Amino acid sequence: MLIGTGPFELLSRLANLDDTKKHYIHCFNILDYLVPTKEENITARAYRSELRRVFKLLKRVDTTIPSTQLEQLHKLDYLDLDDIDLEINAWIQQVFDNKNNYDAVYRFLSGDLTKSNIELVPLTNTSPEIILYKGNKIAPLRFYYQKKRLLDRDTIPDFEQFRGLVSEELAIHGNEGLASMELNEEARAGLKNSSALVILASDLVSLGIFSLMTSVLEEIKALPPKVVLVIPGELSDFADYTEEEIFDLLGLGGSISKMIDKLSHSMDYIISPDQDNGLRELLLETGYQIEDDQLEDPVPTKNTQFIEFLQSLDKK
Amino acid sequence: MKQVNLKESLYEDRTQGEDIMVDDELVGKLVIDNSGNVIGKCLDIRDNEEDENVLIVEVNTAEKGKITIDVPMSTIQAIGKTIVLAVEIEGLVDDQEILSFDEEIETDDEVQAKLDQDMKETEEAHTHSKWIIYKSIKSDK
Repeated sequence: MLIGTGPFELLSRLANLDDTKKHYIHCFNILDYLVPTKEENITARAYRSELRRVFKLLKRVDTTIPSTQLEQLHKLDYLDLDDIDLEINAWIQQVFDNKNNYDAVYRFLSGDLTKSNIELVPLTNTSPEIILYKGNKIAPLRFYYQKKRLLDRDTIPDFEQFRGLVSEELAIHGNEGLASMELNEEARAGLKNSSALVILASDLVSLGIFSLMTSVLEEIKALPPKVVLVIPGELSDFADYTEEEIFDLLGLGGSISKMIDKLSHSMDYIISPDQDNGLRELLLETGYQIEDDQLEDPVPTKNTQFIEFLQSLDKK
Repeated sequence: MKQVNLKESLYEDRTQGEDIMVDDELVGKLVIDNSGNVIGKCLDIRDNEEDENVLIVEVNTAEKGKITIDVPMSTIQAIGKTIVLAVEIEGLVDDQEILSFDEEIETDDEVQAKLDQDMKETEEAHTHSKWIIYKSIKSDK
């Protein structure tokens, strides 16, 4: 499972395992967002970070688009994406425009991958619109996280549905339903047939949101696979003020300890670099113990221990 | 309010025109106003509601204790060991009395020592060969 906007260093390793077993890649679609536009003949700009990253890594189709169209996309892009990412974004958007639900989109995109034994699945059936707002400004949560700013309501007409949301201080809307969201049926089927679920996290805010999805976490706990959460060293504390601010809005408090506590009920293993960053103490306090076997840094391909560890979970 | 010598607080004389607006060069630094008053510490940079680049600066107020204020980057005069503004603190905050920000500015040696330590830690992080496996004692799988 991929959670976050950052790069997933281990994705390539896991996706290129030399075997014929069926593998599922669950994309965290909760924070996917659209930025509507007033401009005529231009559709809303859509950002689906996890899906874009995995598709970019594994696609076998040529997603190139004419340079004039690409130029136009660059002009409209909010995130300064490069050519390939913009092309993939447009490709994915086209598929969304032509299919009527998440399952159909992910199934179609899975057919365009270089690996026929990998299936992409969305984590849930819908993406709740989690919105931040203040005064006359508003933006999807992940947009605010990435750009550190809100958008003028007048420039984004489709957000009129949120006209009633008024606050002088930065406030949040749409996170109330996280606890009751449920797994997508395909995602559930994939988990029922797996021996391990590896969760790759690449930013704290997305992982924080995941920790609030109580029903999904309960279900993951009850399903067969052993759950392994990989936390890169840089996620052991807030990277900046915006992360702290969003954690506050989510009710997760001023540190990552509440998030870790919530996740700890469902994560059988947590793997993290051996660094002096406070995470070790936090995990020991939260109900984890250190296994005798340590792992070499799992990112370099010559290091095989991480893969062997995952394979060993089959037998445990 | 604690004051500093503006010239001494700068070890590099760089101005806004150069490509200096990255987090590492601003976040964590003390912010000094045009009179040399130490007014706060830069916590982050971002675009504000007017799409203007701002510093998020933690300041100490008489009434509310520590709060954060937006300081437009256009008011930065120079960046070195500290961030020096071209304006007075009174021009940035309307209705709050700003107290001295009680934190010492590091000497050049301290800054260098911190940089060396950061470099060492970064190198260690990259070459670190060991990752820890934590197992949940609550797990029944």
